[in-house]
Amino acid sequence: MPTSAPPPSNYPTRSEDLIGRINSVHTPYEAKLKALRELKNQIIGNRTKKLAFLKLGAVPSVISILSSAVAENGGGSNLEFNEPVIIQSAAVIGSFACGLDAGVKAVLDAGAFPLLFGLISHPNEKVVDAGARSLKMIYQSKLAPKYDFLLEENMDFLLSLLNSKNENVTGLGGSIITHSCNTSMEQEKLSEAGVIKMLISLLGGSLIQRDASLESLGAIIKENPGVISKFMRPENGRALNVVTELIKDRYPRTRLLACMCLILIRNTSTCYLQDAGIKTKLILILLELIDDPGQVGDEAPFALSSLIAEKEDMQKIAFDSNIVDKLCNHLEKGSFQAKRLQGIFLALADLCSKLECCRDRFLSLKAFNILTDVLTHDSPEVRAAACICLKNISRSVKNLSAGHFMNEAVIIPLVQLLHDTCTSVQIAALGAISNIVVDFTAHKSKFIHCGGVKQLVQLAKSMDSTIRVNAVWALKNLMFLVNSTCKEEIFLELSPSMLISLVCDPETSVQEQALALVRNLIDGSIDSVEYVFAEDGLLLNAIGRQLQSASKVEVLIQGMYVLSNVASGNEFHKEAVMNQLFPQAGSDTQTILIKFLQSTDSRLRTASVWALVNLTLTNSPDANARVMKLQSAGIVCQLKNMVNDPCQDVKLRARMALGQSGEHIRTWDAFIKVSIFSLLLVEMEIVKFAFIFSVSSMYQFPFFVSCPVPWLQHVVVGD
Amino acid sequence: MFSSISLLQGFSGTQNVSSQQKDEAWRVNVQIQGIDHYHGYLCGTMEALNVPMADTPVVTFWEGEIVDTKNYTFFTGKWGATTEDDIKHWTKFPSFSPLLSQVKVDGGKTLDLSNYPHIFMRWKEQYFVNVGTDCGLTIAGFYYVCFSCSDGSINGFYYDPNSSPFQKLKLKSTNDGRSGFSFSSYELQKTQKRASFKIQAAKLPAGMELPKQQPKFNAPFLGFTKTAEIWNSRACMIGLIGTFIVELILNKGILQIIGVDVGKGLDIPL
Repeated sequence: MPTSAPPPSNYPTRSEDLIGRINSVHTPYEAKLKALRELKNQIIGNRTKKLAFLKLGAVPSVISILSSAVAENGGGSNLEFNEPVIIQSAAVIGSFACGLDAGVKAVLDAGAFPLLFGLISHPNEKVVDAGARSLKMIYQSKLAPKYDFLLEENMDFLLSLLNSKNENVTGLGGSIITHSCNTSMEQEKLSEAGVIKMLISLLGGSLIQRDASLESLGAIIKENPGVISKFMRPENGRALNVVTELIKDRYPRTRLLACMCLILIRNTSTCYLQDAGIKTKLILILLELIDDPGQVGDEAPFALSSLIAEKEDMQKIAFDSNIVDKLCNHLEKGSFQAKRLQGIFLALADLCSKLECCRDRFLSLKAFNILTDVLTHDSPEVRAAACICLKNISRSVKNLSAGHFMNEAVIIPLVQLLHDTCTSVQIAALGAISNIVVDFTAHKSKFIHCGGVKQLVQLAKSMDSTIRVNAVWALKNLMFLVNSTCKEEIFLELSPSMLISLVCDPETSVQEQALALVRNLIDGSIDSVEYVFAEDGLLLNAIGRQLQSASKVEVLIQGMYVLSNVASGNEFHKEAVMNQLFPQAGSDTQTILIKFLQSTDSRLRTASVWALVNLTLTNSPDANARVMKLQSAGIVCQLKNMVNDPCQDVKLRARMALGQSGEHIRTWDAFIKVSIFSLLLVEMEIVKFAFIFSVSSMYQFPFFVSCPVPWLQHVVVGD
Repeated sequence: MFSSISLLQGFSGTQNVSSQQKDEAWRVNVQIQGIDHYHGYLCGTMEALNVPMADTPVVTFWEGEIVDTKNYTFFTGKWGATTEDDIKHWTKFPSFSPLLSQVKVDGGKTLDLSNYPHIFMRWKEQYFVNVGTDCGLTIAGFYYVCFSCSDGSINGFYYDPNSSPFQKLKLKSTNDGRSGFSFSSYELQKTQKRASFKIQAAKLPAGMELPKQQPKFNAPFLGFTKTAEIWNSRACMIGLIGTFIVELILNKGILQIIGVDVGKGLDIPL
């Protein structure tokens, strides 16, 4: 005992004294029990004290008491005190593990786990209770070891837990499932073992059993349609009805858990819970739960968000129940936990992801100011959630066109967030900026003046590919229909060499965005085309190389649109495009253009045909030479195959390009058809039917003008 | 299917606002800003240049309904337009005439317009972008619009019971002095799907890899291919119809022509 140095206050001495008493071999059982009780009362609900005692090494001491008490159990001399000591030490261990990861780690390191599991089979009900409670606390932490359901003995033990009459033990069973059931294999194994049925019967039990059962049901059915159909089977009685009843339960926690269970069923199997009544009910109950001052109120918005995310029908119903106003009212009340703010903004973000009416409603309320204020919140999760919300609200073209977002109150904090230390915040801010800078009014310069472009260019050099994609995406949208002065400024900031390296980025999605950026750069006034010839045409060459080598169709589409935009320039520009498309004149390798025109993706065919339309435009003097080149490469022939393309746009553009190439496909077609049929009929000496057949020679025979018989075209029409 | 209208963004032309008193046309620029095919929605701005009552060009924002027969039919059903008004305006477009009879029945609900070379729309102006509502102009009415996919032109008629009827809007796609078509694009970001875990039920044995490329299958030219079968059946049908025609003209069956006796059954000597 430290007696030599005077303690700075009374409290440490008492703590150390307490540990001393617990550690000492000489302390009688009775005194130890008292010390344990004192320790428990000190640490319950007190994080600081838990940490203090952890540092003093309380956990190993308590566990050694527990283990010796267990060893003595039944045969020792202090039978009277043995069981109370076990109960108290188990409770102390549970208390250390409750809500404190460091505590859980200490308890696990000291080897309490098997000891506590041993207590479950103790004859004394109170000991069992204490052991089950402590284990439950441990299983609430992520640090708890994974329970392996695939081992048969483990499964049997779990079933025995669930079958127990003791509510704490069944609760422990539920906690184990919730903690360890993560894969579909485990879910199936559990449902095969009949766990679902047992959990359903527990729904009628006490509060602890009901909550544990709801939570573990959620873990078992999550994203597993097979297990859900088992849950819905008639032999499980009206299980769904029981859960549906529980969403009206007295206890908010039970209501939330039941709602979550229904949401998981709904989100996985779209065939259940489709009537409007239950949908509305779920939304209203979750809204009401947000009012709860405690943890339930913090979690309810997340449940709401998972209910409505990506489901337009749910969003519509939610909007009709006036949800936007209600959520905004919550925001206006102010002073929340960060978690709740984050949840509310995420729910609002999901609401505004598709429906224009929700966005309009939100913008008409004062909450928009709160949103911009929250962009500077202390918690990174809240900042990211606010950005995601802003991103979805700014998907409204109507409000973008009115210039509602392009103002200092929004842009300045957003640009600040680009410097954020947290990557997820940066990505969310880039998302919001990408949408806001689309801005159809002439205010893009505001963003440039706020230093936004500089920062975007910096982030486009980031090592993190997600940040790079989003930064280039934002630059692309900023470049969309921007005026020449701003274009010049952005281009200077970006520098041609950086554009080249973005076009050649190892990540295909970055390539795609970079090519789209170049496409927007050279649109607009005809002088803009010159940008692509920067650095002696290195940029254009890089784009040409990407087209030759890339395999992702989205990259090829953007690349073809770049060439198409270049080809809409003057003769020099068009020739440059021809050089990219046919790199070595005279070589007989198949040109990439044929490959693109034969692509199964109609978007790529469209982009390629547009480039051909621009290249074959008849009013240009050198168009003839280009058409000859296209013909010798087999492009004209390929275009003829496309005049009946299933995609209407490809069909119309192919005809346009063909018409410009001086090919009169119709006359050709008819001429060849009639001559071949007449020839055939003459051959067969049934000349008198030749007329009838040539009339009835059905409407279209692209076969005869297609490439398998090119000699025929030469024979009949010549080159 | 509407890709040409998604690509072409700028249009310019005139709106004829002539009445009995005066002959007048405004120059008009239209910019299409957003399209949502799933909801049959599009929107953009319209700029009227030489409006006599205003000193600056007047820009309005409009929202449009694409008549895709799923979200919207040819019947407006609002904005004070009756079905008679609808038909009266739509029939002004020559490309509408093949659809007229069906539209009279059900507004075109049963038509499939996904591959029709014209896109019919209604544009309704929502607000003034650069001037106040006191500029002396009205945005009470709406436009019946027809976009031609083949040449990218837009024709429209303004409908407002209180303005002169059938004001004609004629627009062509602009190309900024280029010899060809140039397109830019933007893309709004959506919410990324929240991470949801997915684990395969069966694990691959150690040392085994999934193939990196899917094998490609080239359709054969010979054999029981689709083309060959189609041609077979076409030839068959032509032959069959041929024999009917022969029989019709010669009044003799094909067997009779060859010289087989007909009308005696199988004539098996039993």
